[in-house]
Amino acid sequence: MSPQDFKVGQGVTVDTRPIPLVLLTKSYRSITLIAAVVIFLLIINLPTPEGLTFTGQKALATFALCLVLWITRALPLAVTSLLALVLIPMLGILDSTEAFSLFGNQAVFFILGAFILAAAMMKSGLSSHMALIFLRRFGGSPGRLLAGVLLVPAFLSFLMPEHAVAAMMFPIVLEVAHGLDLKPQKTIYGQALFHSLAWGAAIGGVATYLGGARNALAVGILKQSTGEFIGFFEWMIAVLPTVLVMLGVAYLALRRFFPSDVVSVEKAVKLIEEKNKSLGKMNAEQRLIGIIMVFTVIAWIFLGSRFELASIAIVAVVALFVFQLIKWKDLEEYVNWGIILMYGGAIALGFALEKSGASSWIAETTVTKWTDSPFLIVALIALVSLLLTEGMSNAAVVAMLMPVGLGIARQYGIDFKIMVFAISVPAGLGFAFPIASPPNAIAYSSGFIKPRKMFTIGIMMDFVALLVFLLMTQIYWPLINLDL
Amino acid sequence: MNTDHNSGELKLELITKGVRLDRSALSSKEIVRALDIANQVHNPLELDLILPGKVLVNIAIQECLDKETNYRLIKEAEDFFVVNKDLKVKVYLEPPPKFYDQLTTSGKIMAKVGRKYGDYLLVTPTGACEFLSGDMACKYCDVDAKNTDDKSVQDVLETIEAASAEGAAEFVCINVGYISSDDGGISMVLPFVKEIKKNFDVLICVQAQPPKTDEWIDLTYASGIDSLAYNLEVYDEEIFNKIAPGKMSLVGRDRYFQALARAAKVFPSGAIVSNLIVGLEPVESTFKGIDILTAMGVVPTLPIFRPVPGSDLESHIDLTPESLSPIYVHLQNALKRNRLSSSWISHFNVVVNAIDAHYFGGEAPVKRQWPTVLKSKKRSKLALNLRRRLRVRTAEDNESTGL
Ligand code: SF4
Repeated sequence: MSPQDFKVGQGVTVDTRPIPLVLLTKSYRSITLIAAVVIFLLIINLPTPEGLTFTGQKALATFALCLVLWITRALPLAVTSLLALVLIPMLGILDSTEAFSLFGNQAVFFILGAFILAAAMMKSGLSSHMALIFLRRFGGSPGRLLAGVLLVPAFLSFLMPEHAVAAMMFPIVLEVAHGLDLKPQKTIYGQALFHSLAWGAAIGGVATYLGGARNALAVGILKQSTGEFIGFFEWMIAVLPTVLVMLGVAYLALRRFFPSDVVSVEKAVKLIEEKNKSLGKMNAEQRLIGIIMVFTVIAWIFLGSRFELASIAIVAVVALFVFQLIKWKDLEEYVNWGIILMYGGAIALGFALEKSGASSWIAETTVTKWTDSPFLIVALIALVSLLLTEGMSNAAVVAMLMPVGLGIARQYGIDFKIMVFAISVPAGLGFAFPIASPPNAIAYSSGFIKPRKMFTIGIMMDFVALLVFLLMTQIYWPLINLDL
Repeated sequence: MNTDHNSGELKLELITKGVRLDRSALSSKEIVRALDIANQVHNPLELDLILPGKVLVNIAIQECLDKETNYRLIKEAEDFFVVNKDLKVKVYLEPPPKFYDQLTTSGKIMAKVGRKYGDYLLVTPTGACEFLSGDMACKYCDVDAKNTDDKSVQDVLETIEAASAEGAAEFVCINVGYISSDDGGISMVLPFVKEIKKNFDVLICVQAQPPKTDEWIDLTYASGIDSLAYNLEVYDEEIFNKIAPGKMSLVGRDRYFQALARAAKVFPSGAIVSNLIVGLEPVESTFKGIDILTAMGVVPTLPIFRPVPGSDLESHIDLTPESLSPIYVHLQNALKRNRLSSSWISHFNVVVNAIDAHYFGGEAPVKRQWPTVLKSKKRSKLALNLRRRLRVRTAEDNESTGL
């Protein structure tokens, strides 16, 4: 792009730091690209270690290359996955037909269907309608309104991707904040509201496959590598208690660390009422999308094991088009096509590591040497996932840890499903940094949140989340036959 | 007759007192042509003189400020001289550029599209400033409210091409009056910048109003604009509010300072300028303005107030060269103290600037940074473009892939 083609809204900014720092930032990408290639070549040219085949070694080199690129984001995540998909057959790890067929994994199509359903809800205004209808029921006092801003996005994230929920609710919360005359960073209640939005959407996002597509990715890798599967309902049953406890913890933390400095939220309640009125009654289109959504979720719960989840999602998508509830053009705007590509490649890489024996080899040579307690291993994996997600994409964390995690589970005889939960649930519960999750980033952009406070309270929330998750593995999971 | 003189002081004298044209000069072909062009574009006659030491001065002949001026421009043989009863200084009269009376393909006289000031070609692409249509006009304004017709990008390109052909456009300065929009008028300028940069090897400066948000300032730099002016005009708050009612109520004095501070961070050192018109406020206030602006990294340009006959400020503060020279010395010292260069404005002939200040006993001009870099145009462009490439970031650069 030539400089004169810049437009406002493209987020053009000028880096005013000293030139050496700017140069370092600029060359960071080239340095990481070179480092990634060097690491790849190094691993591939080392003598093959005992217990690993040369094919496994090549799979490992590809994994390391992708790892560096995923962590540093020197290339877009989706492009790194595509690179993996090309390298796997080129290096003879899998044959090309097999490698490319992994792109047709049902998790990929499930995610595609889920995105399209969410797009229809957003485009039609159904999601805003739902948000305002639910939010109306709260209010009355600052505490109740805060609970509303926590619970409404949490609930919506059961049905839609958490980042879409946060983006959709952001302007509503911003208007509420302005309506209450809250000043960015100055009023405590303003900070509480945006933390509440971010935490609600993030916590809700771990409850189903729909909130965080990383959940579906983890299950996709599970199915491809082991043949096992976790149903829609099964997932919810296993994770929902953690979600509910975390919502309770979040509310208490919000009340404790952000004591309200406003007396009345009457203006906000009025504003929500007005907004709700201005949206009018739900129209036929919105109702029909709502009905399709309800039927789809019911079908996922009750028919998910008979028909594939992806098939149900795609049938729902076809229904949307049959009733002309969405146009293809809308999908191009709302669907994150990059994630679809990323997941296809990540699943292929996970399978390649598993089939070549590389993931078992990693498990044997790393964790096995340190401890032999399955609980400690799960705790360690959950901790690593949580820490990584604070600094990198949630999806990349899942793509990175799943192959290794499955190898470890096999070594220790840990239920594969437990490993899936141990990786993907903490991967959605990063609270300390704006980049930890899309809802955090969106809420942070309001200007209301103080970074230091986000960090200190976020770290605490991280560890409470880990604790709650581990308690569930010990207290609750045995009741549903998930024995650790 | 004495030929000893100080070019800086003479420049001040000529700007403040004006000069009368002697019959010998009046009949010269250069003056005849200058008069002809002034008539065609309905503007007062302005002449560019180069004083010894390459000091540029632009003199508005018809608005002879001091009717009693003793200065006359005479012609002897082929040479011009500025004379008074004790002094005779040989000057060089810059003939009006040839392109002035050429027409663009749309039929506009080029002198109306672009005016040459030293190395600068000043282009005002929009119609009149919106302040001029209400009672918001700045009291010192000398902008021709009649020259309101919009110029197309094509008109401007053709004018620059003609001006470049005679080496009259090293810098293109685009002037935007007040436009009621959040961007301070930058969006309107961008198509011009894009085409100018595409077609000519020139540096571009823009004079505009501060935008509502800093995002526009970053975009201004990212778009290829090399230098930017948000003209405060006077530092004193009370006087600012009184004589710039439009700026006061629709932009706000504070916003000028905020925007200048951001711009000074974003643009290269010395590329952000702001006018402080000398003679509109007490000298102490101008001193303070110079100190504050230079500390922010902004180069003040100090045009001398030349009252438009018949205007509200016709008989404003009386200026004498003696009262003026300390201001330029102060400016020069302030620039030096803050390690700022004034190379971007060194060829403004309508202002007395720091480059001239050493004529009044100020320290030598700051040589570091951009002036030296800018000596070679090729090198300077390379350095400026490289800086821009390094510093500008788009959301795409910053963003994660959103997964
Ligand atoms: S901003 Fe003031 S000085 Fe400039 S054109 Fe408008 S009225 Fe005249």
